[in-house]
Amino acid sequence: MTRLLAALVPLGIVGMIAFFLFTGETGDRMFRGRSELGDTFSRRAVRSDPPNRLGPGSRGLENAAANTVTAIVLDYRGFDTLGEVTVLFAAVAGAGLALFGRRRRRGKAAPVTPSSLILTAAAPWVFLFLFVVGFAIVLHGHLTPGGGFPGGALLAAGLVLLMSASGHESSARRLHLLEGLSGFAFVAVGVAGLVWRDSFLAHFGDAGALGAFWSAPVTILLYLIIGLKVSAELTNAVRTLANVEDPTTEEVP
Amino acid sequence: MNTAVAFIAAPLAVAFLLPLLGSRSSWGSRAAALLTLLALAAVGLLMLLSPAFPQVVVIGGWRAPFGISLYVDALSVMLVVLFDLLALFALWFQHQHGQEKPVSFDVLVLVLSAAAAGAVFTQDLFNLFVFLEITTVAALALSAPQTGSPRGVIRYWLFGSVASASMLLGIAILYSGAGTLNLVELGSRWGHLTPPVRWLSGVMILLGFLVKMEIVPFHVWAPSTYRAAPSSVGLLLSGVVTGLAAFSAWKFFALVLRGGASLPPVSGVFSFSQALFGLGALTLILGALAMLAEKDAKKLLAFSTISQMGLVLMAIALGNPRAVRAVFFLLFAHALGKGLLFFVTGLVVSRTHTSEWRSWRGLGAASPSLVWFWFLGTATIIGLPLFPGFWGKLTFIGGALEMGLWGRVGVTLLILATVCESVALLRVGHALWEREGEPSPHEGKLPTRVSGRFSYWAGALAFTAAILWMGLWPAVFSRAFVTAQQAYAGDGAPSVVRTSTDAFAQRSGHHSRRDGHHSRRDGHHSRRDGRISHRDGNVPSRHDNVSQGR
Amino acid sequence: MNVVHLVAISALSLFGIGLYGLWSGRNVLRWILAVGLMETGINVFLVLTGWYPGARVPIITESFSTSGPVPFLDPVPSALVLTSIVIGLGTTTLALALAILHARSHGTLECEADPETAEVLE
Repeated sequence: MTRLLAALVPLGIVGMIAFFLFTGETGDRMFRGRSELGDTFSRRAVRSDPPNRLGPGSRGLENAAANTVTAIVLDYRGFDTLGEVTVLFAAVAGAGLALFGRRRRRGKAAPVTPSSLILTAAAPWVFLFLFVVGFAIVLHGHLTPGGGFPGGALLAAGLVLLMSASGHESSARRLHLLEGLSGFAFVAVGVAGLVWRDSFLAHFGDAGALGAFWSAPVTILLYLIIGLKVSAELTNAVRTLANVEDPTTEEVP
Repeated sequence: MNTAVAFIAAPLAVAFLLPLLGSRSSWGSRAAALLTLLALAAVGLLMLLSPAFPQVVVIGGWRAPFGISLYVDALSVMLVVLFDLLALFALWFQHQHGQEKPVSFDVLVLVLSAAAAGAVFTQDLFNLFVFLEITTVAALALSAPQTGSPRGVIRYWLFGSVASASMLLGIAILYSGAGTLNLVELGSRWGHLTPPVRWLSGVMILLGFLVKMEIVPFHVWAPSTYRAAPSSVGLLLSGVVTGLAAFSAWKFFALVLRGGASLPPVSGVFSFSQALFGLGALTLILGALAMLAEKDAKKLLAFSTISQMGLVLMAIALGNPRAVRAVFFLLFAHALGKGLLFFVTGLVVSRTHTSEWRSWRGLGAASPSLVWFWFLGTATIIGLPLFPGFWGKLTFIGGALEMGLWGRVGVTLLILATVCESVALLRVGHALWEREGEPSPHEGKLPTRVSGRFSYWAGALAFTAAILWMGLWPAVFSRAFVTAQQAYAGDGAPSVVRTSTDAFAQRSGHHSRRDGHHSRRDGHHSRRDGRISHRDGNVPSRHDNVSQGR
Repeated sequence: MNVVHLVAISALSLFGIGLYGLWSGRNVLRWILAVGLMETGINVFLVLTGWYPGARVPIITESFSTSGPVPFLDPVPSALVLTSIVIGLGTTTLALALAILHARSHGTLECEADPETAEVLE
């Protein structure tokens, strides 16, 4: 009976939402066009009248990242991204605080399973591959889908793989250094915008030609920072969560 | 002009750098965290002394409806100073009395204060969501108990996650209808949305706020979380996190829902704001009743917070000018009074290691000042005349009596709840004060130096000064509150956005096309909604396209 | 009724399945997965709100006349989704840490409502 109710309530909620959104006048307006906001971003036409042509090689645009989503994430709504990076930082720091906050009597560490030959033999090569692809994705964030977050996740996967193959943890200190410095660099880029363009997180410097690799320099810089930060953050998260003593063993005094 | 950014950027920068100094809080990292918060509070006070309000700070150089902008007025700076001071105090207290001092604690408090400032200033719905998420994550991590069961905090995480999920879905639905994320522009397009979009997004986003405000029946996470958390974190949860949720809820309610007036009535019987008012009244009275039955001091304070938030929600739902001012007064009074109460609780718990207030009997004999500070906090919360809560409740009653029967019922409930709340809080004070009867189990255990330390007097007297200032001389506060209330209530032509676009045009005249901005802004108002239909295909010029809509 | 409606309804169903998962059990890991499902459903729905028939990926690879609308799907929801995914990742990390704490203090992941901590008003 309770189970039935538990199934019926979500079904009712979802059915109601779907019914209201996809029928009637609301349904007619749904999936019928883009917002003026998105259209203005797509045309890079917030600040200035756009040039006659918007395409590969266009110069003098207010934002020269070919990927409009990147332009929004790092430029038009860059503030959200600062917040997003902060959430990740706070979560990893918080997991550390929750698990190792106070000096507690440590139980026995979970027994380490020795890594197999396949893992140890393949890890360096896979790491190399992940490293190259990860950095390529990070550095092409302004041109192609991807960027700092997925690229950083690939880098982190590589680091975690190395960690589990070698059995050594990557040094907490180095991870903290990378985490802290890249976070600080994000804020510093924001302050640089404040100094040169009189607005926090405003992009400075010559935007370059759309579609070229060396275009939108601040975007490249920010995505590089984010890529490094995300990789450090995720590796640290895995490290924190994996480093816990086995909860089922008794605590030793 | 950009000073307000410092409240967000500076704590973040310091928070990012602190872990480099080592994983244990050292003298240096502690000083850095405390000085940052102190400096920010000082900057805020300086801004208030030489006011140049309202300011609009444009982030990234993108003007209001497109980019994210911060709206900085006297009220928001006051709130941010209050939050920074509470964070400073919690950090100070934790360093003095907490058992362990991991650097993550400093880091998370700094992140919390940065996110609180961002959420107070921002004029963008999604940005507000992001900052509220940061505060939730930081508060969750801070309140995770080191010993004992984390079930309370898991409940907090569960409720918090469902609240954010519901809020995000609401934002998605709202964006799909209105095509903008700026709060003021959402407000001006609200009337043109179809009723289902209004209903679904309004209810879902408000649900998110209500959970974070601890409104009955979504308050279930609060008492157990408060009990598990250290007192310094309880202070942050009650003063900063909950207060911030209430302020954000008000911002959404005032700017987007336009006081609930534009929502169609529920089945013709009562309106949306009346439903919220009812929820608030229920929370107010149930919270106060639960206080009477509570044996645990921290949970008692949690129920007091719940009850106060119910009152705040009632004031938000009333929405008339006086009620709105009451919201601000109540938020300040609650944060100050609850801060002092948590301070006393924390001190006592750090000595007695129990938060069962009945076993605190006789502690006041060792340090009588503790009892006085408890009574001061109580007076602030329940609203004894010439204490901050008094101005809040008085303004609320004034606002409620304008609203007919509903308001009168609300005032009656408020008086009942205040009686319950006073009894509950005074009983604890009495237990502390009591000298006769059976001897206290803590006889002789309490070090006499509790009240003799510099940190103790510095903290307690800072709170006392703030409470006396607000109680005896509320004119400064009420001037800022009136200004803010009028700025947010501008109907038809939303004054906040108008200010923001004008301010940007003045500031960045060199970016060319000033008049272009204005013509496009006019275009916004004439359109029915924010959508450009793909069916319109080749619209000849951008301007026509914008003003015709579909 | 369109294909996009089908996808949207599936997205909302994911949200519903997540809700069901929350409602129907008391295991902490189950809750973490359920919240993850809910968030995924919302993210998919959020991306869909930017779509319209004939929309193209918002990456500029050819020249467009800038006088009329550019035939891209609405890029704003895609940008918002990026943010909300990362936020979800953060809260999941924290939730896993809390689950470990739970296992540490209770030896199990079943989060029963124990009578000792039962609240007034619950």
